[in-house]
Amino acid sequence: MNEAMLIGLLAATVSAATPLLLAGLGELVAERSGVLNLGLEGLMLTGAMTAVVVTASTGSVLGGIAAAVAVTMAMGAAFAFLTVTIRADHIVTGLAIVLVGDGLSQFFGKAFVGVNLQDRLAPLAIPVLRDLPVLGPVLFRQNVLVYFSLLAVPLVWLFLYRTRPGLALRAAGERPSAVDVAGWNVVRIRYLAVIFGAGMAGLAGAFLSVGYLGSWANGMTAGQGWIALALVIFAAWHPVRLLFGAYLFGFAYIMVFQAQVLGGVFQLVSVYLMQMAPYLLALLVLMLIAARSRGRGDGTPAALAVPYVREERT
Amino acid sequence: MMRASAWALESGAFVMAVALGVVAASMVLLATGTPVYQTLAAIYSGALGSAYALQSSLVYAVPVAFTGLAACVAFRARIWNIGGEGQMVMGAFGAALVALHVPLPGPAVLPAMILSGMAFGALWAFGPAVLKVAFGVNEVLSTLMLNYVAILFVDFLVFGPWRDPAGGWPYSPPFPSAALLPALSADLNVAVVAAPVIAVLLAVLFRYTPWGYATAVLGHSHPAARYAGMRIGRLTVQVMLLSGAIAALAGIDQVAGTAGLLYHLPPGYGYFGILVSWLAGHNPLLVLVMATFYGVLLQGGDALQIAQVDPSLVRIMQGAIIIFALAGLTLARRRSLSPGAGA
Repeated sequence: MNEAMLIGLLAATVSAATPLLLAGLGELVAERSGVLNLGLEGLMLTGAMTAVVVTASTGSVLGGIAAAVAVTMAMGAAFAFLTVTIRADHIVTGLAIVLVGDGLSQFFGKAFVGVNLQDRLAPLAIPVLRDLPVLGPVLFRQNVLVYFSLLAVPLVWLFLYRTRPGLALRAAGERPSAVDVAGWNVVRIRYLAVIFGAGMAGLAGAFLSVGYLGSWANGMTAGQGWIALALVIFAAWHPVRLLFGAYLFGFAYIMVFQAQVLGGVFQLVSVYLMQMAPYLLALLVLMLIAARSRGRGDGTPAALAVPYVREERT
Repeated sequence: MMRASAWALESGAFVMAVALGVVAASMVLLATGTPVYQTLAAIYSGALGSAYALQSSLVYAVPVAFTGLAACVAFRARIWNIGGEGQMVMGAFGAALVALHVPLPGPAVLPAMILSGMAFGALWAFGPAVLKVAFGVNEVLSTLMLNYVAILFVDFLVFGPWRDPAGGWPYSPPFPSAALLPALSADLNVAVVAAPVIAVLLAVLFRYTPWGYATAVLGHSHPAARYAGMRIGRLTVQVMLLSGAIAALAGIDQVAGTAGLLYHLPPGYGYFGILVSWLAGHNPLLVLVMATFYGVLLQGGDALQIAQVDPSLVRIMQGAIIIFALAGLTLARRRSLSPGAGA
């Protein structure tokens, strides 16, 4: 393997990791506030479809991305209404969101299946940094959503661990009654966290469609929303570990893809078997995490998926 | 026993949800300039309006009933088996394995297929159960990951070694006639009778046996189950095995009844089953009712295709009905619980 191939591989890894990182960070914030949103897959699909439809109709990629975020944030608000206000079951509501997102994206995306977008999110090389050896082409000739995802990691970390609202959000996921007593509004915190998380999932979908592949296909997220959920557990609900996990899985996706392209010994293995790799890797990672944290807790927020009822405050 | 007023409240909430879901779908139709009345009429006549339409709806309802029953076994014990989809696919594989590759005397073929299918479905649930009990691995995600693995595994077979060399599609060769479930009509097979029988057996199991009681306690409160001396790990594994074996029946029905060969099963039944079970309050007899309702919706999608309207409209309708039903039934069930019983 020569240097050009290595650089190509690493740059592709960054692209493959970005949607996982975006969706995972959003989910991490929502779960830290105590809400489990299993609907990522549906939100990503809706975001991907919306971005393509709006971009193709208006010619504005940024408009498409903004629309994707707006639509998925509205779905996030609906999810929050069901789980936080009505206190419906988080798991069942999440599955319903997956179905709704799948249905909406198929229905409204139908006319755009297989259309190659004229306008996509163009790469934006960062002056000076783009000329660094290896790192330049790998990291600094990507599009703006990649930079945003990388910037979001320290920002989410700063927010969660170094600000008072961040502290309140983490506490809402651990002991909501204490947050309430301290004068914060648990319901508002959870709504905002869920809406943020849904918007990030929409952004992840938009990255896939207008930032990466340049087209829309039914079910194009192909399970990445579920992988992002597993990554949050892998990360023990910590943004920096999530960055590591997203890149590990991005690398796994690219290796599967590369193995198919390279041929040779890999041609003996069916593509269908190789495509199992990310899911088996996720399973293995979940197992290792669980085995390691046995008895010490794995960082799950104590009030995750537990509805908060003010009248039953203890 | 549920009080009559609670029944009325929940049924009312569900009917309201269906009505609102239809209104939501109509608004989408209006927005896209599709004639509303003709479209709804096409769904009705295609899924409900005739004996033939009803039979077609039941063809869809049967696998959803099996995955719904599988979900209610697990969910009432608060074990989150989201893997009905993969367990169903492995059930289809297990049945096809016997039908295509195990030489057996005629009458032994079907029983062996059903046992093999159920064993593979149970196996697919056994892994996550052991991981949960031994390591504390979250079963929501482990069962989900295995769904993808199962689907890719069957894809591998039907695109690769098991592909029928005589056909142009990624299908296995057709099953021999001894490997087909006995037909009751042109479209329906014995599975349409098996589903209610299993629902009744489950209702009896839940209601009248110590095992049913123990798993209900497990679902109500893990600490309570532990204080009562129940072996939580063992119960968890048993619940998952039963759930996986029942989900497998959905796959067996589709390959040995509806299709007569192994193929990439239409996706989603495993997840529909979870929603159906929740709508039914994890009551096996009500699962049958809700699965039939879901079958009507799925067949309605086919009817739209014939009427040349985008069938994914029905998905939006499904989604809207479920969202409204989640809100309505959550509120109705909370009202019908006595104070202090919790939400």
